[in-house]
Amino acid sequence: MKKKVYLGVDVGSISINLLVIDSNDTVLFDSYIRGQGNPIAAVQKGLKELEQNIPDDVEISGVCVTGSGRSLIGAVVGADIIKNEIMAHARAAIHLHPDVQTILEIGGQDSKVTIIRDGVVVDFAMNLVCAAGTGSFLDSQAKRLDISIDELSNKSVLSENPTDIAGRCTVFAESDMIHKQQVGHKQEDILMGLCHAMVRNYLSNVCRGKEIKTPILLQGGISANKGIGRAFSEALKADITIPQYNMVMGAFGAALIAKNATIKQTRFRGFDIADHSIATGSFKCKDCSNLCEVIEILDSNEVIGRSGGRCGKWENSYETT
Amino acid sequence: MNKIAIPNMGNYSIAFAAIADAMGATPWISPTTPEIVKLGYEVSPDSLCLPFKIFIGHFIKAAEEGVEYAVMVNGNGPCRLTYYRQLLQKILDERGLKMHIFGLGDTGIKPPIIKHYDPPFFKFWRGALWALQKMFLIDEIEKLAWKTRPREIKKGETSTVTNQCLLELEAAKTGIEISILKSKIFERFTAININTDKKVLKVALVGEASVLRDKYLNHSMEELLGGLGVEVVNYFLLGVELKNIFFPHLSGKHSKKHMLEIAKPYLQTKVGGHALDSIAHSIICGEDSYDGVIHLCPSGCMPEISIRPILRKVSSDYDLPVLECSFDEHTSHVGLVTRLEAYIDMLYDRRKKNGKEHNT
Amino acid sequence: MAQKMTIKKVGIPKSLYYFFYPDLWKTFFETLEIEVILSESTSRKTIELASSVAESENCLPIKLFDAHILELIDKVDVLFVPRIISTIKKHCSCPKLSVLPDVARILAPGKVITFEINENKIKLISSLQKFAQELGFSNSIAKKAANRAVNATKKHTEEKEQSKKTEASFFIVSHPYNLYDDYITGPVIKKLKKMNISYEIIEFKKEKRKKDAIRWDTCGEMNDNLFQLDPEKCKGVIQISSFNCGCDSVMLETSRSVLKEKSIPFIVLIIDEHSALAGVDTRLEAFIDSVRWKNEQNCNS
Repeated sequence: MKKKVYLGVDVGSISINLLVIDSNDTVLFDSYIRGQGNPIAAVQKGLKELEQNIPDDVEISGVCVTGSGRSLIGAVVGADIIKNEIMAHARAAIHLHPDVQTILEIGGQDSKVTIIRDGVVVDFAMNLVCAAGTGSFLDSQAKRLDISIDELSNKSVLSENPTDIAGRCTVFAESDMIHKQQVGHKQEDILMGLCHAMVRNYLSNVCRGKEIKTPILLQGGISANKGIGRAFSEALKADITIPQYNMVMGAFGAALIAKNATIKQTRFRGFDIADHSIATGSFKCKDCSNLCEVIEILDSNEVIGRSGGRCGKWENSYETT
Repeated sequence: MNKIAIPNMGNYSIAFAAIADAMGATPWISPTTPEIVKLGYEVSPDSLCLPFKIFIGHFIKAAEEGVEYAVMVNGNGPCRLTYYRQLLQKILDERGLKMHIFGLGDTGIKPPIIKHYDPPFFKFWRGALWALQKMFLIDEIEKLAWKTRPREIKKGETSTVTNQCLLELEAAKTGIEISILKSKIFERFTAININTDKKVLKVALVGEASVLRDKYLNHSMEELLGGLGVEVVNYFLLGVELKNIFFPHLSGKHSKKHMLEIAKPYLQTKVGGHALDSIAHSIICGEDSYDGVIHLCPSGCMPEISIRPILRKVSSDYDLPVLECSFDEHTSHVGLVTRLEAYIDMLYDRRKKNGKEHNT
Repeated sequence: MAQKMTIKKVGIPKSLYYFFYPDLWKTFFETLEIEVILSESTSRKTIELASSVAESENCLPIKLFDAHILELIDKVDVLFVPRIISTIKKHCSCPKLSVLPDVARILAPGKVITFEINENKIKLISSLQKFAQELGFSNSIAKKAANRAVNATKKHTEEKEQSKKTEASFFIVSHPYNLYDDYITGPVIKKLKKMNISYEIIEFKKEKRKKDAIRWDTCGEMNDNLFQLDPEKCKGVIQISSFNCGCDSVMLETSRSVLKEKSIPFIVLIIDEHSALAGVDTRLEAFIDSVRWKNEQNCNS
């Protein structure tokens, strides 16, 4: 008999992450793929890689998909469960650090804070209107300075006297940054200043009124950035833990959720979907005045899933946990 | 001819249309649509709240279809609503749209709108009574839907039945027809197959009336929550609201006076809009051990935003998780759904942890 | 409400009602022989504190209130936070002002003393007197404190009126809590002085107004003042408005149309906690230049 393993997929705005665990929660495979606007192609690529890298004697016995594109990609891979990313991240965090009390999670366009007490999520918040406390803030500033995000990460920690960069709005921050450049601030100080600005924005936009207690985990795409870690520990005057699998925590959490859901028969559509031609179409639902644009996912002209309606009637149904 | 535009109040538009009918006017009602939202925010000052943009959107749409009259409540509190009728009129005039907006409330015994249409006494009051009947029946339909939806076995059945009932109610012309429909409605809801053993969460919706009632503005929140296995109680019921205005002594624990009494430890003034109710209702939910409260308001809503810190205090004192949602025309549906799902997951986890198993 | 008598130090945040009623509160409490501790004037520090603790969708003045309260909490026995319903008869105040004591009570439990300012029901002088009595003072002391307090604010306004320069060409208008807060209006005044422009701040007298379409007290008064401006003398109006100010979102259109009718140039400067009034220099300069330019053209033609 083949060994049972569980797949977690996190479909974010910037990357698609896959992670597989066995029944002892050991991670057998993980990958972080930049989506570049085509999540379906990215997940196909990810599955191909996965197939090549896991042993032959295992069998995917449960799939959970999370992230903002969960319902679309859920249909593509054949998910048993779809779960919002806040809970998936919390799940993995609690698994790795059972005493965690705060999760800071910063992604490309979304950022969240999750408050945990005694291993249970008790509160959370998300950025709503503004991207100034998200990864895209740093991305756009790095682009403006013409350096890579890796350089930004390495150089910013060298700063001894970080520049004070004002403004929450990306545009204002940029004009202030240019001004500071012109008056001769050192590059590493400006870079660290940017990290501070982003963290300040995040703390005041997302964490307002939340009780941030240690241990604090920092996860999500941006957690690899050393400058951000430093900015957080200086702003919160606390140690920041960056967990193992920090970049793929959502997928890890999803895999754990799939494992614990006691799925009898998985709906996983198999590795060969990587070679299928999968397309999306859409139509306007005229059942009510909302006139929702419903997205259809077609696998060789067969509708395998729908999403995008406001009332939820077009979405596939999933097991609840 | 003699058409009158009525702002969207969710399902209650049906009852308002019936009143217009009783006055001898032809009602113009429309659900909020993407087109109306667009019309509205194109002409509105950016900093005004979402309900204003929706009001003007509806009126422009109606005016373009040749409707000559509209009706709008006159606020008299400290909230911006007080000025909205004038502002709406101004925008319509500036755009050369010939539409006159009648104000409702605070206009004496015989308001201008009645003077204008001058309906025969008997016909009007009979029609108004039927409209009232309709309104109370809408309240009943809403309540039935809240209870049934999270427990339904076939997904979407409750919404289908609800919509059917509302359509027939809209078409019903006389008191007798409404009464007959009433018994049918109860039968239809009982006929929906439900899972009686299902443990559902109970969550209340409180906040500003337009976003509580306009399903387009709140992204069909009642349906979304129902689908997640949540029994919803939407605290804006027009029946209760009208009783409050016209028969305050009859509305018992929902009267403003009683609300002030309940809210007193936290809030000692009416604020404006429904802000006091939001606090009082949340306290009631805390005492009745609801699983949670969702506070809905338009972005920048003066009364509702100003009470948020107070609401947080109620939330922590009663150990009642409150989710704050503010809406504008840019609110992302995906983001909202993620937050709702995470919130509901959190409530389930809390229940498990507290071992609180009440099956209501 | 049982309010304890053993008050030695009362804290008053330098925001909102402090600016509405200049000198009034200080005189009132000092007549009652209670020491008054004012919070420090708004500074960058206050703004930073405000933006990290206060409700994000509120306007700047309300956020600043939270910060001023937090600064005072540990320095005083009690905090004074009135409930403002209406400051002018037949009018009402912004609803955000009516919940201040309730919000303050959350920040400083058990430390808030309050009374209601509602000119629709009871004159300020009478409600002040009642308030002093509630605090445990005798009838005569209460009366004395109320009288002195009201006179102090009257005197303050009169003095300002007298010291007014008559030749002002630009007028600054806003709600009192923006207008008299140096951190907010300061940069504008500094800039005008630097450009050698004569200006006048439109004062609030809280005078009786006729009941009209504008029910908000300060907005009504601002509007009246704009109506009275003489287009011959007034070259331009600068309105300072806070981002997310509910009242201004409605009233700015009215101001604009009043001034348009008089052909008086008008500029609105929006403030929030991120910019305060940074960047105001450029906008003001452009506005004033354009006004001058226009006047020159008019003279030439």
